Amino acid sequence: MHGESASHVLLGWNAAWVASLLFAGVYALIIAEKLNRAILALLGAAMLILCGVLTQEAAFRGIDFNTIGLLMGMMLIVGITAKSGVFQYLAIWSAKKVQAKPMGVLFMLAMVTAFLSSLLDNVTTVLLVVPVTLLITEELKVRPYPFLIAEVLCSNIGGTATLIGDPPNIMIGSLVGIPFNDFIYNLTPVVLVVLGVSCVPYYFMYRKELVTTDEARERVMAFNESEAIKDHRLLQQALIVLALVLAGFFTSRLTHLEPATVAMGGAALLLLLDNFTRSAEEQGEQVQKAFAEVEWVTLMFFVGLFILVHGLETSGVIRSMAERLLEATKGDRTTTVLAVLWGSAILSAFIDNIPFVATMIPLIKSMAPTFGGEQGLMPLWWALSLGACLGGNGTLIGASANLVVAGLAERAGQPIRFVTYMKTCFGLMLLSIVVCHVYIYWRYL
Amino acid sequence: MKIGEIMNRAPVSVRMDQTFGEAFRVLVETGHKFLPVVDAEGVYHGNFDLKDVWGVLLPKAARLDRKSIENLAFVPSSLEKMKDKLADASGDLVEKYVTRSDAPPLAPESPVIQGILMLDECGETLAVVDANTHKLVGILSATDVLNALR
Repeated sequence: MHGESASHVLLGWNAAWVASLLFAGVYALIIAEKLNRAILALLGAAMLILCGVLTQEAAFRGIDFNTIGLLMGMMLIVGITAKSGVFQYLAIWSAKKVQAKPMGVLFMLAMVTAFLSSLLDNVTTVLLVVPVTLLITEELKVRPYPFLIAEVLCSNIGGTATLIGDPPNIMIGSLVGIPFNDFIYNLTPVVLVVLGVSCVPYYFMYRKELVTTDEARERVMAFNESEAIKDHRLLQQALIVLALVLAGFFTSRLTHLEPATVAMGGAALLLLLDNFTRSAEEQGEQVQKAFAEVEWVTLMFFVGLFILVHGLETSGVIRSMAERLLEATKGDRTTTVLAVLWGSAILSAFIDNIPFVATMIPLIKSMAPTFGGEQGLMPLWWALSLGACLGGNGTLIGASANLVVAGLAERAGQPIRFVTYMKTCFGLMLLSIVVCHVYIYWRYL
Repeated sequence: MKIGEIMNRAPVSVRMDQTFGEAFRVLVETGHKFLPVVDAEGVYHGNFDLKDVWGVLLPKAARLDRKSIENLAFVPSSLEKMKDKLADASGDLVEKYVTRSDAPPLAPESPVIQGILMLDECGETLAVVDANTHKLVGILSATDVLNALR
């Protein structure tokens, strides 16, 4: 690994110190939220190369294009699919299934959010579900706050269930090479338990508040969900492509196709189906619109981050951090796994879980010799995933989806405050980690 | 040529302390899409326009941002229901709805080309305000410019 770094670090400085200082500086500025995180990560990456810690070739080798490709492919597919109106359809259909009774609507919308989040990016999911939720709660004349909080929690819980549900899982799956099915086999069961367990206190917190009149319920029951579908042809095409993409993920072990290939292939196919009957001018416009849906800022953040973490890796910082963690846990696997679970959860409640997981992956990888090879690391990967994804529920700044919902709520005149949110959700997050603790201990240790 | 030479010097306006219902009636009766809002001293505070009326009629969720809800065909609606919504809002003060235009108000001394630039960017009608007192002195509409060009 050391061979990847540039031969001459600027002014003869120690490469490990330069990489650590740049990483810590970028991290601190990300937390301060004064500058956009993509700018900071790319600037940090450029400085790493300028200081001579990495050559440009080595920096590019640090970028995991599988993660970038998977994210980009799924963003394209979801952006095109959303135009069909299928997500609004699903939300209205689910609310009507429970006769528009407020508690039932809350439960159904939360489950729809969890389900969609397991297949789509969490931010995209809440952007699709929250406006319909506000529409329904306005008609029901109930406070949207409990609904929005349930959707925040379920977007993060649902996203934990699969490889493609949340960026930490995408990174773990891609950088460690864990197949899609293994995530479902190992994480989905505990995610279902967490969902069930979280419902109980939530029900008692809000059951008295969530009442409405029969007249208000009738207004929601009069919604015609089939009118929500704007483009039936596009819907059919999108459902076929989504089914193919999911089949591609499920069979990746047999086909040896990487997730990025499946997602990008699906996106290309959907673009083709959506455009082949259009004129060249229309195609140009449509493709432009489709690519505008890709969150380039997020992707560029990942690029910069991968380079920064690669700098830590090649300069030996990660190895030394791993050694210290193992010293602290005395090399005991049970203690290390549970420390990773709780540490990830608490830290992810306050800091961005993406750079945290990006740092933890090489750190955990370097523990392989201590824990008997790659197979011995599996409980650590599940602990990292569960802690980092579910920890995001702890505070309003814990995950991007939380902040997006808070922004939408503010604009709808229903602000969600940091302390109010934390009072409701930090305890629920700790409860979910207790469930995961028991699950990991029982299943793997 | 200056804006003051072609603007409408007797614009219909509403006061901050008038009600939504009164402002709505003025919009309907005059056929205007925009009304400048002033206080008792005639100082310009912003606009009351059709967007404020649409805001009352549309669900809040549809106005979060441009893409929040692009389709409301699934929500049953009737004229009676919309009239009820307008009736609910009719007692609100205009003050609650007044919005500042994206563009700074025009001054009568500004050149007409500046007015055309603002009309191109910000809509069909703009308030013209005295630069010192901020009192409303007129409005400049697309029709005023076209008439001047005839």
